[in-house]
Amino acid sequence: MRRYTLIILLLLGARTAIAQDNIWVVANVSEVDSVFSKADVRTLFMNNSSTQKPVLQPVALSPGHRVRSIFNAKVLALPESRIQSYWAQMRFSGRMTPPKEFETLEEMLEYISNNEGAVGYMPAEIELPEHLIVIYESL
Amino acid sequence: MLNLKSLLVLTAALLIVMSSQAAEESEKLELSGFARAVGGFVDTDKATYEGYDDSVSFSEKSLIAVQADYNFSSTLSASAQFLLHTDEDRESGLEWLYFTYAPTEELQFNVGRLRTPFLKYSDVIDVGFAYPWINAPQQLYSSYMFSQYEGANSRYRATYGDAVVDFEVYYGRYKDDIISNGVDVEVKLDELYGGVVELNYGGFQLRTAIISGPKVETTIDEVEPLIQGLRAAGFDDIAERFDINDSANAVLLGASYDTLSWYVSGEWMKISSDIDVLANLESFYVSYGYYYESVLFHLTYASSNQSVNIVDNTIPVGVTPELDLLHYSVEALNAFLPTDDLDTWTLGARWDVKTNLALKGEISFLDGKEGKTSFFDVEEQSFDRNATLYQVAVEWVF
Repeated sequence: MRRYTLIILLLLGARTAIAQDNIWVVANVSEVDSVFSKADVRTLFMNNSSTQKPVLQPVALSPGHRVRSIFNAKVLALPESRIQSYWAQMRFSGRMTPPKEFETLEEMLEYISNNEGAVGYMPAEIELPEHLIVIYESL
Repeated sequence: MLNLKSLLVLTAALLIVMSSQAAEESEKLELSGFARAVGGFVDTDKATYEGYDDSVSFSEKSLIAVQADYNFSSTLSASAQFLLHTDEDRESGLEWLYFTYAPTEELQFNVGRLRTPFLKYSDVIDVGFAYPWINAPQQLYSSYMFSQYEGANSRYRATYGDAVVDFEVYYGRYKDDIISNGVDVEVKLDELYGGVVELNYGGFQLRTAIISGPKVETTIDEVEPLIQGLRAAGFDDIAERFDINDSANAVLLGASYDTLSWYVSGEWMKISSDIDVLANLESFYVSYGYYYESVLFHLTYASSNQSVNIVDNTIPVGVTPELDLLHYSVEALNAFLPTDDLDTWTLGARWDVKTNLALKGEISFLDGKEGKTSFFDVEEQSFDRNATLYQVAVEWVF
């Protein structure tokens, strides 16, 4: 019994660690038409679709990156394996390809910085170059 | 005159030549692929199911495919998918070849050889990595006809508030040799069309689809002499019913809900047909899955019900040997017609070992109806149509 209690505590611990972390969705745009909701962000990253003009280009961190796990849990609300199988379906049915992926936060930030319309998720409170704006903050 | 097939081959060759040109072109060419190794057996020696018998076989569903996507510009691309298959009933080769024109983010047109969209996973049925099971519910996934077509489609994506709705319509033609119960069946449709509407709202998805073939022409070489014999003997009405040359339609409804730790999904479909010997098939499944760490456990119930119009055998017996032969041939053909009533419970697990590699294990309890085919190839009539199917698989995408 004690062993199970420990496992449960560990699991709960892992959940709280993620819950305390918040993320920002950061875009290389001068302004946005309207405030982004969680659903808008999900649609942008899963369906590559938004009503925003000019068109936004979502980019992501590689699977296994801590910030990606937080984003998966808080915004997409899907486990990594489901996200992977979803993109396999989209790619091999000729519908869409997944967002471009980066190994590190620095690489992703540099890409967003240099490409107009690029959007990615970051840990909240990160220091940003002046021309990038936060379009969504997780709770 | 160039037919579509040679045009496709030519385009493929052109693609390969272009793709092998300068190194700077590599940005425009994307290579990806998928593979699966599936092994399994059924616990009976009186019938086979999906090609499986009572000894372990890895050659029924294993395959490898490579997809090449070449971007001519930001709006125009070409894609080809080559598939190598171990299944004796399927041909290896070019599965897909199409051009995509996407003038805007919301609108897409495809022209070429395409996979027919109908069920949730029917256009990725070879990509085992894309779905939870090893064997997607047989009652729906093996029953839907016309897996690919040569033609064109159009996809449009609309956003209504927080809901995203995808529309797809397609039109084309289909021709294929299907091997059913060891018999070579040629199926041809000069016209095939349908549509799909899919609504996504958060983790919630609703899908509906239709497919229609106004004239399905089927040729079975083995049956042709019988049909001619029946006509010659004046039994035109019986001959007429074995001569498949009529319409077939199917409709689908599906729903699913995905969360961080579990999902539920279900699909229902109905095939209706003016073809006497195919008649109607109604089937559905419901599935529940639970994620524990990187392992998914799932449970699925699936059921199908097929109504077949057995052709009344009005040919008298004992008059002449020729009539006797005709009589028993019609009997044999009647017995050959599929009557696929089957209920299954499937329990499975999928472990995503890496982001592009999954291991799966699955047990299916197959509960058919005595006297019906129930998706089995029955070898001994004493078989009670109950069996258990065991499978393991490795699914890989690259």
